[in-house]
Amino acid sequence: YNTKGGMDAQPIEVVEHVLKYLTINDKLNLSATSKRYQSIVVPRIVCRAKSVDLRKIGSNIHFSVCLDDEDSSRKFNNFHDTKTRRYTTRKTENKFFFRIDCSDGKMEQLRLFERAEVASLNIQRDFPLYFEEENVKWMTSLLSGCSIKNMSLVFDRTTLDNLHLLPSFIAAFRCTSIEFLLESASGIKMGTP
Amino acid sequence: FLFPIKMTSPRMIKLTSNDDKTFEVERDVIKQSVTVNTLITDLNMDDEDVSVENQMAIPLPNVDAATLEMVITWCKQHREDPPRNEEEEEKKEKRTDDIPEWDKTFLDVEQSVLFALILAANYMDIKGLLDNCCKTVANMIKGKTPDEIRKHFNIKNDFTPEEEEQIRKENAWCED
Repeated sequence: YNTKGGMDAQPIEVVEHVLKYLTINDKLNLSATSKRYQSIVVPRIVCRAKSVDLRKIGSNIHFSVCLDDEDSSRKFNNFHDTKTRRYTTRKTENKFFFRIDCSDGKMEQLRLFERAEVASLNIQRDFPLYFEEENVKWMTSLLSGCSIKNMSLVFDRTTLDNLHLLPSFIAAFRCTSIEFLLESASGIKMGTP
Repeated sequence: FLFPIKMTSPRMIKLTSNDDKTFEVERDVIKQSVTVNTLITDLNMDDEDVSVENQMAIPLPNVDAATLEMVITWCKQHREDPPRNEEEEEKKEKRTDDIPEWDKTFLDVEQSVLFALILAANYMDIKGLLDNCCKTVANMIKGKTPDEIRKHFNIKNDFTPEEEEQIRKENAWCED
């Protein structure tokens, strides 16, 4: 335990404490001073999203991301610029809209975040992206690095058979709450499985 | 009628710095240090039958005498502060313009002293002191370029020019 010395002698928990009081610009400026601060600061810049909404309309998947604050928007903007820019259809101050064409039957594997805390993932009921093996794989890739508090998933008669995919999907995002939306209740035996 | 009045002097605790200097400090003052407070409780040092002369001194191997003296001064100044609710503190907006005037003056010291105080506050777990010290450091960082931060804190730049250029490109968006 070094009782002398300056900033470099401070343990990580102290630098973390200082980071709480800095804006994202100041954090990035500190991270650019040396490898030590880069390794401490960069992993601690977490992107926070209010919601990620997904729809499949025809052969296109539409999704949007609503960020929590300016820091998150800037962090997201930087990451997505290099990874998903060509899929952006529109962006407002805190919301980004994307579209992927899957007309050739392939779903390009994308990643939306480097690391993020998402409050809710919503599969929209009007044009749902069903819980099918291919879609689950794609969503897992899209949202890798995220923790998701609430999920809203849409099932129809056929995709109910895919419930066995759910535990690993939930675990991948450390999800704590799920809402199941049934496209139609008719023909579905309630209470099963 | 004359009633004998029992004069109770404040309970004192002995602390020893890593350079073997012993300080006597009021129990009520040092309770702000979670580390010391826990030790006092765990070692049952609140026993009123033990005089301060016979009391074991609490060793603080990570704090030197000069720093410990400053820590005690800070604790004396803040002895009447209301107890902190850490959950509430976490929820609070993180500001750096709310350091009390007394603390601003107290912390207007050389960097080596400030950082020694931070280490002591962290080791002794004195949240209020640690907060105000870290806010002071944050104020020193705010608005500075990486080069200015390096100069201010004497940080050695160990990036290659190529790495620096890459970081500059990656961070360019934040200058919008």
